[in-house]
Amino acid sequence: MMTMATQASRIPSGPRPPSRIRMQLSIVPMIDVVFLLLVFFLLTASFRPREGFLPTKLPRQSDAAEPAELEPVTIRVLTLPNGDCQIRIGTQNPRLISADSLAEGFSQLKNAIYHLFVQQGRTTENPIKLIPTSRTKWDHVVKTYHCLWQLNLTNVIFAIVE
Amino acid sequence: MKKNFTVCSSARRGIQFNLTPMIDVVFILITFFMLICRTIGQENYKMTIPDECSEAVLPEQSEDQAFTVSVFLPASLPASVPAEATTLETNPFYAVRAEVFDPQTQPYRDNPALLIEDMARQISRAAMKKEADRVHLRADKNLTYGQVQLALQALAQAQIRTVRLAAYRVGQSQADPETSGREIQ
Repeated sequence: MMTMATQASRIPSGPRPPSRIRMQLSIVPMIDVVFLLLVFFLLTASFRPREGFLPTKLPRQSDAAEPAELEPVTIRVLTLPNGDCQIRIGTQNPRLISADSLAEGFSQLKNAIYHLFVQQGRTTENPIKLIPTSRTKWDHVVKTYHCLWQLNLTNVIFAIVE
Repeated sequence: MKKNFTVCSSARRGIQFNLTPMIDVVFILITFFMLICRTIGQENYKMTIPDECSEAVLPEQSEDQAFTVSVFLPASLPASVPAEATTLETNPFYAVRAEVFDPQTQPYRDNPALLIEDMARQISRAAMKKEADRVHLRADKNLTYGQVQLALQALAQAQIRTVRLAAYRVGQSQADPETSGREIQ
């Protein structure tokens, strides 16, 4: 009896109904992947300010042999043990720039260089020799060069120190 | 009069979330992050470059005809030690693009001139590969001139003339009214 009933239930009673199954894209895995990508980029991204640069020209090795027409203005940059910066333009008295007020100090340095060039009737083409010591902080060297760059003084020679 | 309420077809199917706007938003977020985030390239070593250089020139986005020479402190330094205290005692690493030079390894330890020569050779190779003679010099602001000078010497030896000293513009001071906008003619 059981077998007959089972067989009877398998026999189709009429025409087959049209299939209602539609083709669908499964969006859930895609969303998973997209969220993983989002989290990855959020975690690995490092935000930092955009870097600028100060263009400078290095002298050719052949240039060193040629005698300079005009005596270059020497700017000696020294970093003191307490972090302050001492700068001496030519034979002027050294000026001290406190580590706490570097921006103000270098602004005053820019003024001093400007007045020196105007007094001596120098032009932007005149050479400047930047003489740091081997222990001068790179930050102080770059900030001094920035002062010169602001005044359009680009003929700067970086001295080689022992 | 009796009002007939009809059940709409969507209610019969059940409540559904419309995922399309969400996917749109997520894709826009991904595109945004991919565009604004600069991929950390192999030339971007972690360091603190000089700041407060208000008139530093910003490179153009399309500019890729330059390569980087880096001078940086080893990343293995403990964070608790201030960089200022270690720079004089710690030897920096030098890198021409992704090629790192450690002056503490042989044969550079006994012969620093060889370090400059090898760096100069690598710089020349990079300049030929990039077809450019413009170099970004990225050096940690806490290093000394004596330490950075080796990179400058290598650049000069490689006949590189145009060097760009990396510096931030942020933290710029107020424009000085006396010399602001004035340049020596």
